[in-house]
Amino acid sequence: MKKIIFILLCAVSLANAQKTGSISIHFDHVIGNEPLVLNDKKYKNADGDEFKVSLFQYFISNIRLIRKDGSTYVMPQDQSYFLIRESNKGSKTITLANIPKGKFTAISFLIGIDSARNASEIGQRKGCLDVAGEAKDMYWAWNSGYIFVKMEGTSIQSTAKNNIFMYHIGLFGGIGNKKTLNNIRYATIDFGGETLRVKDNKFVPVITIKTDASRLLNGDTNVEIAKNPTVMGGPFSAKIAENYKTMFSFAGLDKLTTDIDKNRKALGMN
Amino acid sequence: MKSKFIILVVSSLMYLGVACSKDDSQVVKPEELFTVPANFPKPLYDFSKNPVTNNGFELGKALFFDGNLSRDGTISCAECHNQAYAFTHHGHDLSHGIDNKVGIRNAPPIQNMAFQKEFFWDGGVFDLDLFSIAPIENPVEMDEKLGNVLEKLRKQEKYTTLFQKAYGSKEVTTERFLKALSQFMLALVSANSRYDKYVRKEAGGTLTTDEFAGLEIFKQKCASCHAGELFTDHSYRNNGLPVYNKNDTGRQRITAAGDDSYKFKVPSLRNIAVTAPYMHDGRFYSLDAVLNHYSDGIVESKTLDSLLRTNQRLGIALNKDEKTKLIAFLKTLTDEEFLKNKKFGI
Repeated sequence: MKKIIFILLCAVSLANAQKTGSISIHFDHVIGNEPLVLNDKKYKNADGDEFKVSLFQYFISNIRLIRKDGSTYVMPQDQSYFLIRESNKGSKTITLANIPKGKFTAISFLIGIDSARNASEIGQRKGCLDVAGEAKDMYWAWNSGYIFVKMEGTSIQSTAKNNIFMYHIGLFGGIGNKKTLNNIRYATIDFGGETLRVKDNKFVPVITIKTDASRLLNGDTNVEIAKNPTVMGGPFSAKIAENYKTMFSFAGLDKLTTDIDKNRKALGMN
Repeated sequence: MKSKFIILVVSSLMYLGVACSKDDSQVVKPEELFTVPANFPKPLYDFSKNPVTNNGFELGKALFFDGNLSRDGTISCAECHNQAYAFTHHGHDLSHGIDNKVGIRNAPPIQNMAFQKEFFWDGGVFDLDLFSIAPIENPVEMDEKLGNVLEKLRKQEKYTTLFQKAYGSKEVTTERFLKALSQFMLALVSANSRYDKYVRKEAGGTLTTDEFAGLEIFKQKCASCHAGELFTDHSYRNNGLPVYNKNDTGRQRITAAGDDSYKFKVPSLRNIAVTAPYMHDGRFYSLDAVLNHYSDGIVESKTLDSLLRTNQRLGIALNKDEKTKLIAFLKTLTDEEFLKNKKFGI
């Protein structure tokens, strides 16, 4: 009996190895039509305010891949938390492994951290969720919860000290009778008719997703930096979350790649 | 035959692995550092994720008293949470932290933490294990980053030894650090006041006529908010204080809800006689001042608690004699054993 189970286990893991593959996602940060350059480059928002960006980073989580027929592959939750930072080139390319072989036409994810993980015990907050480590500047200790999207910079229009602006958007709805705003938003990115083929671990396709940081300021609510130089949790944060839920768009699918390292090199990501 | 042998090796290795990890968690034998007092409700803390052990408690205590948790080594948790005053900042209306900076709130007592589900005057933290990050990282309290604290601890043999004892290995992680502090705080149970002994019908549990009369007045006029054996219903209320700091809107800072503005947590009254000054901003230095506020000082506002606005009158009707008796009763909530327990000090 034991023997049979052992052989069965081997067989299952062997089969799995052949039935899954990896993909990479590269996030390309822009402001409108221009590349995002920290500190040096000046931009204008829809309101006409001039600004520079000193920091731009965000969490994505709860990733799903969508097939043409609408069915989805849901990534195991533990493996689907990523902190993407403009200041850290390596963080802008993520690799998802053990994806079942197949053809996918879109991807969706949560912008930020789901409410369960926001409320989970400290032992489940590892890696990019470690509040003493990677997540140290993406967490509110006084109103327990992760910051989902963070952008900081300067603007001559800012009325805050040193012309600084800070947009720290979080809040997951609270737990129990602790109700807060719920700024959790989702993004679904269609590959525009192209097909993502997951084959194996040697052939690793790369999806490039454009993240337009100016969408925090422009959208249903055009943010006047003079009026709202600092937004961290007040009711206005919901307007910025509504704006940024449209900041992701499909920018290309690289099919001719063979492995992750070469991919990164070819795309100049190293 | 060969494959059978491999299975045997694999399964015995697996068995060994399980056994080892089991051993690790049992290196530390749980002791009775935390028990639920007979007159208390069920704890709200989930002990299954962090059982209180003697070595975990000792580690937590060492951390609680260590200034290294602050940026410049000067401010420990104990600075604002002094045992003799039920772990409050005696004599300070607002807590006084690093570089002589002053916060916006009065430091609440640390006691009976296992029976609370939300922390701080505004309830912004919902898990004791997440609580300690806030004072450590608050720029006017300890102004340090948690990651730096862990780095400092890793370099000290004293701590690698304490972590080894508490958790079976020297590894200093966020989880271990925070859970050890929780263990120390969970053990801070105050339930041996004269009032407790009276309720539990234990030796020494006698109340004087005035104290007993005070208890009866308390039940009629105070216990709807200061409810149960913890003397709080864990709610957030606007108790009619004139607003001194417009920016501190209390519960509204957390929920962003207009009807939460200027609401603060109903505090427990255990050890109340030693935790002056009172209120979220420490504005009252005596229990007399507190009772005078409730009888004559209530200010009307949109979110004023409805219990303080009854019979076309603001506040709670209390005459001088009733106030004297109430204060006599409140003093029976002082738990000398807790305030002097050597186990909780260094």
